[in-house]
Amino acid sequence: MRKFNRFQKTLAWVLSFLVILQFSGCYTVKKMPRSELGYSDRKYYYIHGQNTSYQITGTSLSDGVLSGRIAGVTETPEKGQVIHIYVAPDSAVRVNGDVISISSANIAKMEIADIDVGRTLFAAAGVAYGVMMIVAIIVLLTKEMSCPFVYSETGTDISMEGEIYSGATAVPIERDDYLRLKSIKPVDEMYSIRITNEVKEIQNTNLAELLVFDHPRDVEVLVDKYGIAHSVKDIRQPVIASNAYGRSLKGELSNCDNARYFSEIRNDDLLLDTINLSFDRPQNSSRAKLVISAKNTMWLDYMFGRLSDMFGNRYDEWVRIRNKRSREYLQQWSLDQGIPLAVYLETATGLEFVDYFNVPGPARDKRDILNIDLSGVTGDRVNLKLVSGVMFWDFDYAGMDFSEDIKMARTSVPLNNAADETGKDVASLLLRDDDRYLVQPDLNNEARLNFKVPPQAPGTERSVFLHSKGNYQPVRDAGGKPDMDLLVSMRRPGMFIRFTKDHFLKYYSDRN
Amino acid sequence: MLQSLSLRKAFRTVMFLMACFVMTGCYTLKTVSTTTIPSKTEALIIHADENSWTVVNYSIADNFLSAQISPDTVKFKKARTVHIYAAPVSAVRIEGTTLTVPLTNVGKVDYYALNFLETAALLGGGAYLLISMIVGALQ
Repeated sequence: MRKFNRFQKTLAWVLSFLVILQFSGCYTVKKMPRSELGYSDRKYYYIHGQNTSYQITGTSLSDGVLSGRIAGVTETPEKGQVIHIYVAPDSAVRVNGDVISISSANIAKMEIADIDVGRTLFAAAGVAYGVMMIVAIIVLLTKEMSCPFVYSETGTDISMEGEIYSGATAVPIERDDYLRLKSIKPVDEMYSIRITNEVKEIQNTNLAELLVFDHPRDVEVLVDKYGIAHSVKDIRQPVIASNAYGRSLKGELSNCDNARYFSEIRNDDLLLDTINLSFDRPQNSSRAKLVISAKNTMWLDYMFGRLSDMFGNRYDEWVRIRNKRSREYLQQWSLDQGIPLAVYLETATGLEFVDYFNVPGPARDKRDILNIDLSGVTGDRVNLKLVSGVMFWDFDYAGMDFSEDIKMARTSVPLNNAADETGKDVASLLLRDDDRYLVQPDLNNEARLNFKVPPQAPGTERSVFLHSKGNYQPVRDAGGKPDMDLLVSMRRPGMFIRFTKDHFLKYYSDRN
Repeated sequence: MLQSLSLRKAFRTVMFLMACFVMTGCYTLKTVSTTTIPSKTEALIIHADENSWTVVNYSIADNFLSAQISPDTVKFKKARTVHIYAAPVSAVRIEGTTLTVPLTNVGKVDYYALNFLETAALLGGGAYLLISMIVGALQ
């Protein structure tokens, strides 16, 4: 790994700080038309002459004369509550006791500090991104949470493909994962991958096999969370895509490109980030495949780590309790806290929860698919809502395919051989879904897995997926007494999102 | 590990792009007096009530500011223009192409100045990041 010297690290932090500092300045000085003098709801007026200045309150405008009383106690009002009035000549400022009056004709300029909407919107995104990036650095430096990383050998290089069984942070929610290996190429008639632990976790992998599909070239194959392969041939862009505040997201979600969407942050009570999607529905279509390309934010990992730390010296006890909970309980808690991406469908009887996407982890976008039954939908539009906790997901793309799945050759390829970083054979641990696990408890644990390449059907294109199963346990070293009141409150739906949003807003307000 | 390196590269790219964006808006409004108008000023814009005149070749004498009204077709750079706000509008006298205004009737003088500290810091940072990206790409 490349090392960065102290100067480079310092510069990186200074730049992060500068960028955030710049983005935090949302006020801009604007000239205010004189005609708006009597209509402003701002409470504080600063009168500036060439040699005098006054702060006045209780202003009134009558016959073109602005009057007000000199403020007895100098207050420090908020920027957004002040009007600065520049008057000429000085003699135009009439002082009668504590009453100041000026003719509007003698106002040379009026200024207000106004919120720069464009800058503010960008600031929200900028600060959010800034925080994300700082969090990303913290996560990287402290080796906080994520999940096992998977790399493919391409013959000339090693390419990172993504993460597996993200979110399976307890034994009861161990799950299957289907990760497309986009870069993998046969090397000496073998497909080779690496599963690595690069964070402070105990990672337990139960199973690893490849699923190989040979299919027509004009078809994309995606495997859903149930292990069912779907063909994607005629994917459609949404005709409407918007967030909870009505902002159009078509630019961000219509293509797999650099335009992305993650939550718009406002200081309000909204906890769930909702993406409204609308697709033109072909006649007689009874099923559709919803395709997304997205990843989780580092923020989610970071805040889950903060939550874990709040158990303090009782963290291990909490882990034991979680491991005894039912799968349903833990899954429901996760859904209640907006961690997976819930999908709701508008039907004739109202909005219905139909399914959810598992968390893909923060390392790479995952192109994922869900098959959706449209039998309850009336009309020529399919209207969906994608719902998750604010700032938990980062989206690149959303589309829908109404084509029928085609038949294609599917080959399950068992592990041929595998060795850990010491050269020890670990293949038997990964061959079957059983109670034997490849346990990777330490940073830089690495297992190399090899699979025999099956013969490819002529004239086809090949897509390779890693089918894995496992769970992991974050390793925390927080001490001290747990904050039980807050932790108990986390049982209530949405409280984890509230906790994370409050945390973010506090961070933001501290810098404004 | 491999993952850490790629994320750092992504971070570097984002920081560079953000720094580029930020550098596009480094102007800040500065207030001065009629005696401290920057010497590099090429034109004044005199505002009074809802009117405004762009003037050049200004001079200040006997408590009066005098200048020649510039045709609308001539454009000046933002950084080389100073705004003068006068009141009441009747104080602004125009005779032919000559505009005069008593200094006592000037309520405010301001201009947009480059924020050197911010610009220098971000330019330096941007240059460093650009070089880092190029070096990183070559490695």
